[in-house]
Amino acid sequence: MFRCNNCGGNLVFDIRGQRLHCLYCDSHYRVDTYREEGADERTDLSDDEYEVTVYTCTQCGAEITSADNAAVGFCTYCGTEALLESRVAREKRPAKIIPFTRTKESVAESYGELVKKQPYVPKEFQDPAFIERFRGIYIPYWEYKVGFTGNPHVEVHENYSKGNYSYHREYEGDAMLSGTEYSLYGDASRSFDDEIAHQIAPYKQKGMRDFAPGYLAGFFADTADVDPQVYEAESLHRGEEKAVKGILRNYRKDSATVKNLPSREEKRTELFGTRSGGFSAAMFPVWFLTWRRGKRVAYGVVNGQTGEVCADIPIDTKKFFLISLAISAVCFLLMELLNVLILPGTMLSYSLLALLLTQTFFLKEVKAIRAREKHEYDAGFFEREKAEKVLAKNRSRLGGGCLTALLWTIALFALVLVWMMDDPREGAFIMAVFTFAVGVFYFIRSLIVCFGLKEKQMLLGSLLPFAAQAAAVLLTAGAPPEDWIYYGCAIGALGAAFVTALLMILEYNLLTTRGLPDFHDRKGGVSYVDNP
Amino acid sequence: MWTTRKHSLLKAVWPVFLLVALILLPAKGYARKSDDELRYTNEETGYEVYLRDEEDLLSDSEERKLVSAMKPITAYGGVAFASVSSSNAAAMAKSLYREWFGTDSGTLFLIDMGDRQLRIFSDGRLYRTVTNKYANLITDNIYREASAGHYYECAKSAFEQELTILEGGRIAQPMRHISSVLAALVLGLLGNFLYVWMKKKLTRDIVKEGVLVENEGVDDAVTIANEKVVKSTRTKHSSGSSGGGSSRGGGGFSGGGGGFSSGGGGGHGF
Ligand SMILES: [Zn+2]
Ligand SMILES: [Zn+2]
Repeated sequence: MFRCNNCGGNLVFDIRGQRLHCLYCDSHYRVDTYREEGADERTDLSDDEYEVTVYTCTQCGAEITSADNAAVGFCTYCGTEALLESRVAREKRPAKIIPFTRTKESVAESYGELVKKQPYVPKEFQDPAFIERFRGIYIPYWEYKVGFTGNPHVEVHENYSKGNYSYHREYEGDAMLSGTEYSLYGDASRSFDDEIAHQIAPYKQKGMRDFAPGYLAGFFADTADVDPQVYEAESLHRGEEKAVKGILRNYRKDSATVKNLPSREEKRTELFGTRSGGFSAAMFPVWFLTWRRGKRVAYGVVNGQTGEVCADIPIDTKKFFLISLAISAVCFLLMELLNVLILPGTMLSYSLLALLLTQTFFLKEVKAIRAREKHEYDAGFFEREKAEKVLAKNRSRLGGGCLTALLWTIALFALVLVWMMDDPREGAFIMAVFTFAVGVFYFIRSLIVCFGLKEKQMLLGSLLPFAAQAAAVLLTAGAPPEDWIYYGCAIGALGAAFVTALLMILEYNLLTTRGLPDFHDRKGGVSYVDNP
Repeated sequence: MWTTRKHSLLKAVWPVFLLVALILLPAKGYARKSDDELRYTNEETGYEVYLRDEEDLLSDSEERKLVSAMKPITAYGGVAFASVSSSNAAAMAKSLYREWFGTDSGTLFLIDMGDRQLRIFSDGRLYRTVTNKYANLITDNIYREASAGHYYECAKSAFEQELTILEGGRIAQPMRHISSVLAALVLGLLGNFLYVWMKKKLTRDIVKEGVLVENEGVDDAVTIANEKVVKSTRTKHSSGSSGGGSSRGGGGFSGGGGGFSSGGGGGHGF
């Protein structure tokens, strides 16, 4: 508790004045020097500890702490109201803190702005009473210090053009890395998703202060329950990347590369003399908004220092379908007007292309849904061993997207061939063969992904397009003259595209919202909270 | 020997033929031999049957039988049979069609004794079903009859085949509407979904940038000691400095043909 030494009222941290403020007698106190009178009598608390109330959500197991015994009311992560168990605990002081500099009002406003720009937002997201529910939370981070002992000899090549000339320069020199130390921060709260942490980064170093409990007055804080060793290997890796960037800072931007870097990670570590400088805890401010409907939650998260907003905003499927129907009506009218020109073969070619486009987006979506469901980007969610695997896998994911580009090049090449064909029937057959060949990739990949999803109906979105593509190849082989074959195949392809698109839209909100969290059964992390 | 022209060649010289035919037509001055001509009008649809046998390939009874074979096609459009002697069957077929049906739905079967060609020309609603591919297919099927001098059998077969295709086309009609509706629905959903997907706010890629975050405003430059330039080259860009640029000779692009013309058909030598 933070009591006013003047009147005994509750003190809260005043964001505008960056000081403790008494709501009753209007007294102010500096946060770093504030001491509650009579507090010295407490001898059971050591210097590096402070007392908090820990609230545990009985529904999802998330923990939240308050240093001034404030009422919690609802769980930040699952939205459940008044189902919290509380206990008093001693918490280790983090070394550093970045205090809130954005007020709730300004944050609510920028959140409102963002929501306004989104298409088909459900009404309640614009409700001021809902936006009012922003809650200020300090999220614990592990600060990793990465130092170096080597001064590696580097060869840097620079290539750039200016005017009518291109320049090539080669430098050699010693990078004075020794003594350099970088700080990297990893989200230390298991409840707080790493991906959100990433979206609202970075914080500004300038606002960093030595920790004092007074900063927490009027706010909540998450517990630091992620094993600090989870990110340690990653921090060394990132430290080295930063070192390379630091070296290149001496040269022309985006035109220089270090030529003599060992490609193997161990060799690089040896060359740089990379070493861990240990870790400590820090707290960063976040404004948090929770929306819940049924078994889904959506978060609005704002960086409490910079105002960077990251929000899950679902789409109102009713609104979406109404607008889609209007677009469809316009398309239908246009097509009826141009009807004379659309021959059955042409119709089939375009239908197959539309199907392929649907497949592409379907795969993107189911992959994103799987990433959400399996916490693929949230290493802090897991215990240490699994978490390190997740991080390594994420590193290996880099450089994707080439295949998709290749597949689409093939499809567009087919389209050109179709245009060159005299007879749309033969064109349709070519298109059927090409889209089938590309479709096989999408089929296999989406099938694998869909098998791992909870939403088994998504398997349809992988199977139907493939069946339609295969049927189109078989039926149009040899370009038979009967029109009904082409219309039939087009109906098949469009039907498959329609069902797939429908699934995609109905399940789209799996991406814009989250499943109810469950933090009960996680083991392995060290709790930074000592039970008294 | 009967000559066989390649369809594509015909297509390429089509505009020239058209021009020649336009010039020649009034000069030649078609005399209508009314006794060679038969007509019939379908009261229900208003579509007409024309039969003009200038070359006298059919007997009177064959003409009457052929007209009754042609009648069912009037459910879909005008239908005509003509035998002429010209030097360009394709142009002749088109000009006769335009004379009788204008740009209405219909089909014309022509036996050109001068050119020794069988032609089918169709337009309008009917052309959507009896397309060029079909026209070629039909004339391919029947040219042997013409070579053998069985003109009635040849013409009858042409109209029968067209009718079969048209009836089949009637089956395809509702399918066409279904596919249009579906295509519109898919376009609506997909277009709208693309819009939503593009608008999704995800500014940073966690995979690319890694899960750890850095603070802003930290000086992370590394000093380079004992730096020396090992090599330095400067090269002039090869492009853009040669001057003059490339010059294109000759006149502008000359397009073939005279814009979009609806209708068409196919044919076969016999
Ligand atoms: Zn007071
Ligand atoms: Zn909860």
